Amino acid sequence: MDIRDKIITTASTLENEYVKTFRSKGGKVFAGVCTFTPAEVIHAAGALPLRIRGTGSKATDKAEVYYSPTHCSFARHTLNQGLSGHFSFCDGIIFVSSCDHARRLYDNWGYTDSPPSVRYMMTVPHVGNEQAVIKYAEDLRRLAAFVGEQTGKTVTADSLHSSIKAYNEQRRLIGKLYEMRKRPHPAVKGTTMLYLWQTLTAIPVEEGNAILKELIETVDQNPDPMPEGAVRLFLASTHLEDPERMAAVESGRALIVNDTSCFGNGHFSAEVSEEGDPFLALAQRTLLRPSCPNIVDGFRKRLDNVEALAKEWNCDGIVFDHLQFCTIGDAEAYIYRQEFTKKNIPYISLQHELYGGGAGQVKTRMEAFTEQIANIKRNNA
Amino acid sequence: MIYLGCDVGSLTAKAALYDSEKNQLIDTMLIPVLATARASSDKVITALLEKNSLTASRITGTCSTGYGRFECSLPSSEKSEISCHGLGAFWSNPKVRTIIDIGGQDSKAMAVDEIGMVVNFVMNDKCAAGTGRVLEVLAAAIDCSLPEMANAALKGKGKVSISNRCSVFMEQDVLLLQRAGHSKKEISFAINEAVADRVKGLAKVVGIKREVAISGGVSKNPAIVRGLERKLGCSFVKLNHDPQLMGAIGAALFAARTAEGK
Repeated sequence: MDIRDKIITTASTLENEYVKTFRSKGGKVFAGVCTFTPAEVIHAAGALPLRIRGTGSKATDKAEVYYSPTHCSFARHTLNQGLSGHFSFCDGIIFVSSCDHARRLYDNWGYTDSPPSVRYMMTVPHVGNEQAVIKYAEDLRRLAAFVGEQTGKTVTADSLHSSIKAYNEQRRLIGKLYEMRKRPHPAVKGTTMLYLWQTLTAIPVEEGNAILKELIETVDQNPDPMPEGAVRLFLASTHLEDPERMAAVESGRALIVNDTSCFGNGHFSAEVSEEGDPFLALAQRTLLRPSCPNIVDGFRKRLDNVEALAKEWNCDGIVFDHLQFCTIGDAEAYIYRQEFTKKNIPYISLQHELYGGGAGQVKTRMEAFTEQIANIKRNNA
Repeated sequence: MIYLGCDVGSLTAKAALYDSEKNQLIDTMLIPVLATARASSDKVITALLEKNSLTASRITGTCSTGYGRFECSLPSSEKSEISCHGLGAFWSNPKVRTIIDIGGQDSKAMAVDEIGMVVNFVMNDKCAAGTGRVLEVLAAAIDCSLPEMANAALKGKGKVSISNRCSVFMEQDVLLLQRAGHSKKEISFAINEAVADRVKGLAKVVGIKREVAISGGVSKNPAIVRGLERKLGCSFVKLNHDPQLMGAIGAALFAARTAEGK
């Protein structure tokens, strides 16, 4: 199977072939909500970390007994999948308090006693300072103890260091792929990257690194086809997991060449220090790098990061696409608009439901956005 | 040379014929949409060509726009309706720098430069609250036609208001006002104010640069127009052609620019 097809197939279902093989060998699978659940800790306990997403979800009717339609659709879709038993192949699930909607997933999952029965709630900080790092490192130790108890394999400093090394290799490999997107003809489109992110966060890291190496080799010689006169864009985003949505954003001449999506660069960027206390190193990496909007004192860092990356990847404009009813995303979108307008950087803000609808409107907006950028460039020439 | 523009929207399909040598519109046509964009474009283009005794071979270039732009039968190029409305309005009145377009399914505000090219725009999110469609739904809720509701709104004094965050909540508010015994003219006024407020929010994001024009089907609603002018603190300049046809006209102009390399 072609490497691109393999990635798409793997990303298209949560219980993919890698998960099945891992389980068939007696391995345990732990699902985790958002990037604040560190894969290294689960990996060091001998389990397979799997990022929770709503893949395959067609409705939110069951979840709406507990969530209103004006709650975040990520929370509604994933709870709906949980209530429908779609996570029953997992041996445990880790929830985090990265936002209130995500926090309520834990309550609702437990209240409805949806599988898996092993559930853990981890509190995460909302500021990125040294005090928060120390607190978060303590929480990671508790998480490691919990997962180790479930798998029967104690997480030690050595095993965690070894896991950190494996994930750092993945970060370096994906960084290489991002570098290849700086090219005049970028190696991969945003839509391909979305499938890749979903694959990498749902299979063993060692297999993921092998896939990455093969993909890098393939796209180096055979890059994704690009539209004629492509307009290079930076995607700043919160949670975006629907490939059809990404394809709609990339419709016409729009081409995403870099991002801070919390499934993409927002998850994979920045290595973890391989020296010293590994829990502290994980906490430092998560909280002190440009993070997601739930770190409330990190806006300036995020803004500077988006601007610097957009410049380095030669982007003509910035797209911010966030989930509807995501309050922190709304605030971010508003401030981005103010800041980028001041700097005359073309910017468009979009909102979406996790799955379904709105493709026509997004295509129109993106088409108009690329036309607007062409007009501005012509006027500036 | 003759160019054709076709704009297939959510409620109506429009077509325009443009003579580039005379820089004049030859003719336009508007029809309610049919079941598919393809059928709508077929019908409006065929009818317009027949009315002007033209065949497709006489058309030098074509461009389509609107939600059905990818399915149009004749057009060979396509452009977003945002760019088409911008250029169409600018061509119709070259003083225009800001255009507010309220269509059946969406509303948008655009800023154009001194040659009619869009340099900034904002469009409503996935929500009907600031569109022609919500006006239709709410007019039906108070048992009025759209012109009746607009006329009633012009007589309202603003004694009641409704939310504009969501069309579902708007309908609930309207039903509550009806049950409370408020008059049609007051409810109509509240509906139009709510929609105008919503669109004002978009216009403020783009920034109001004079002169300002309004286009799209809802531009024919005097209550919305008056409400928006009051809220934005400006008077809309007159477009010299039917404001509902700006998308089709803009598309015809883009067809000419593309073919003639302008």
